[in-house]
Amino acid sequence: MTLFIKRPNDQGMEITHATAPWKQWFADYGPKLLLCARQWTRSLADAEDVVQEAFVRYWRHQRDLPGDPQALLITSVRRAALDLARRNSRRTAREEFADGGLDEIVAVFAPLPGEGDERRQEIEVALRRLPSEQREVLVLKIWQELTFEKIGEVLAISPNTAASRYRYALAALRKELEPLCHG
Amino acid sequence: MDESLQNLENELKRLRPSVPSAQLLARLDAEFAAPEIARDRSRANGAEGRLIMGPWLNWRMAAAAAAVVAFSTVVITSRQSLRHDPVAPTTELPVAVAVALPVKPAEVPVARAANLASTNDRYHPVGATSVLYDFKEDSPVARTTSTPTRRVRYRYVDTYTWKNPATNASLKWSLPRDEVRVIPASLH
Repeated sequence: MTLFIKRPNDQGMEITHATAPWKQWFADYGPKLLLCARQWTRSLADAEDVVQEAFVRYWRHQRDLPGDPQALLITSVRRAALDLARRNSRRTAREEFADGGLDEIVAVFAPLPGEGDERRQEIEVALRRLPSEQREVLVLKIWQELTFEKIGEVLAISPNTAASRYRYALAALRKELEPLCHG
Repeated sequence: MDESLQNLENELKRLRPSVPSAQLLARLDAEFAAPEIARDRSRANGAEGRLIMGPWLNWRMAAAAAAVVAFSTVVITSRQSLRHDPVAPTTELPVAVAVALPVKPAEVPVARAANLASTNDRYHPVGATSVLYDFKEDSPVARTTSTPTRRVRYRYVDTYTWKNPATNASLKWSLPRDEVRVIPASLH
């Protein structure tokens, strides 16, 4: 997936990331960024602050930069989250960041119709129980559709480590969810 | 990856992240609306800056022209001093003593030249000073006339000040000036 696909607009013209209005762009990709930010912050409000900071910086100063804008934005979100944690006086910066957030019980996925929503809630609960380093890899892989190589760049880990964390995360989720599925 | 993990992966992919709150969108809206004002302001500042820079650029040219004029003045003065019998200073200044000698702007050709350049820029000369910071007496000079002479080198720093009354902006320009005088020597 790329965040910056060209798409035809109503007039049959193509809008690139450089010319598309930010609202359209944010409507498409803001939710994914917010989901990322939720992995590194302690509350939805903090996550939104972080997304705002990173997105504004990107849109104003970085969108014309060469390179992969998706990885740039996610890295920017992560750094903003780390900065926010540093500013927070409750704990030390490292403790805050490593804690992985999601203290606040707020849905991170859109509700699903009918019984599907129960399953969504179960998955959310299971996700919250994952170790933060596994959960962040899972989120980047599933919902940002990054390669393990890109995940490694964003998180400053090797691609192999990212891949193994991903497998551990899926296995842990399966373990959490199977009793609910089959029991 | 086994089939159950694959299924789980697909199930996860079907979940859509929650949309950001309306408050976040409103904040972003305000954030991106602000640059329009800032951009307009910066455009205005840019225009103002150009208006400010214009005279400064002109002043650079004026300063360069004034430097040429000043240099010519020094050379001409020196040559005239050599051609005509100069008048010796009534008092001798101690070496390395700086003396501020106020000079009327109208008497300074540099100021006059700059004044011409500044007419359109509304900068007016408001002051000029000439500071003698050193003088040195060279060895006696042998001249064709019978009068013994000595050559004295005076070293000045001339400072000219212009001011724009409208903006209260001012410009100071300093340049070194050497003046060589050949004066009659009294050998006792």
